[in-house]
Amino acid sequence: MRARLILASLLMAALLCTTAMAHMPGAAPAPDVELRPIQIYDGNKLVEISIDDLAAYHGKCTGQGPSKCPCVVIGYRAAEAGINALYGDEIPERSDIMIISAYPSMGSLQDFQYITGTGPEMDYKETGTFNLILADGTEITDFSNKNIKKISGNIGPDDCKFTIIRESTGKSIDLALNGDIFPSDYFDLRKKVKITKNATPEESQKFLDEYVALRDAALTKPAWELFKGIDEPPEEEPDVFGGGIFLSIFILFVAAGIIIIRRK
Amino acid sequence: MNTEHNTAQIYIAALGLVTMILGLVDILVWIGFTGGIEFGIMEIAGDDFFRWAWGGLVVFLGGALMLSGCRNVGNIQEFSKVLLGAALVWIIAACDIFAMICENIPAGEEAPEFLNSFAGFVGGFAPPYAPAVILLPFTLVIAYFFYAWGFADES
Repeated sequence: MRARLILASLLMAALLCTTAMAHMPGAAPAPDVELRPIQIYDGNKLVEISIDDLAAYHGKCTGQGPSKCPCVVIGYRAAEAGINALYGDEIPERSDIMIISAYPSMGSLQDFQYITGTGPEMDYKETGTFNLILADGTEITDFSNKNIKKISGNIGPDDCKFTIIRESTGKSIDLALNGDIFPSDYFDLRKKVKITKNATPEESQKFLDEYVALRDAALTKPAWELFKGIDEPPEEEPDVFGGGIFLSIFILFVAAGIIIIRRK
Repeated sequence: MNTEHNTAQIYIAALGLVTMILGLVDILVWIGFTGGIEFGIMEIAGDDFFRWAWGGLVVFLGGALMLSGCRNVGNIQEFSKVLLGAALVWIIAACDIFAMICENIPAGEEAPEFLNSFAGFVGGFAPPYAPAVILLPFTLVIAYFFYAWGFADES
């Protein structure tokens, strides 16, 4: 009897470990991409927020371990692109940042809570503002996993919209995730696999493949390909004049050196 | 000691001091005392150990050798220290220029073609430059002294 209990406990522990390692069991690990951390001032303290910090916070809140799920990645990229567009080289105060999201997903929601310092179990001095307002104008204040899951059952690519606001100046930027990034059946499969849980094994596998492809695209694509609202930076023209001067002087010196050495 | 040697002594001392400072800054930026520095046409990125920590040390020692030999530049033993110091700067500058040439031959990472355009190749030599490249023309004056003062014939 005792041996059976121990065996059952071990099996249970193994099962829990599997779920703790990834929110989507079977998903390939995220590619190792270097993304610039978001820098903000929390009071006088400079805080660097990386995608790994957000993945860890999301894991801590959901109790499932760190995860770079597509929603975490999309939230991070939206915040990074928005802050970059509004502040340029300046480092914003946390209290100056306001984020309005129309995308009801735990990953992006916890990203924005972490960045604005409005989330639970955080050590911060100042807070920005975060609101979840759906595309139909409904403001969501209950951020429980159960409620967000319920709302997210009917979302589509058009719901992936974010507004980042610089409160001190009132300047804002609207970002909408480019719909092309989602396969046409992604949200239907997501609903079947994650919400209603009535997907066939084939559908589950297809969703897993699309999930990994979406996450990898969100991690690796440049911001102007991911979001409508971000312009592609103009390609820098090569400084032919500056380079030409250097090359001319260099060739002149080399030629003079060769001549002097030959004469000697 | 003639006037030319006196002037050269001051020039080499100043050059040695500047070289030492720039070598030290290379190392400090690599260590992380400050982020990359861009000053006029000079840039110290500090992102690579071999180039900035090791290269910075070579430039620093080059400056130290120039300073140690500048007291009596008319003497061949002292001048050889100065020449060796300049040679250390030439090595790092040559590495930097060779790296620029190699970097400018292929097109950018996202470009579909392999080879860079002519304008892209030439434009790749535009400022900013590493300190050793900026010091290079100033240290070539030491090579001039080497020939002009007859040390080349003596050696």
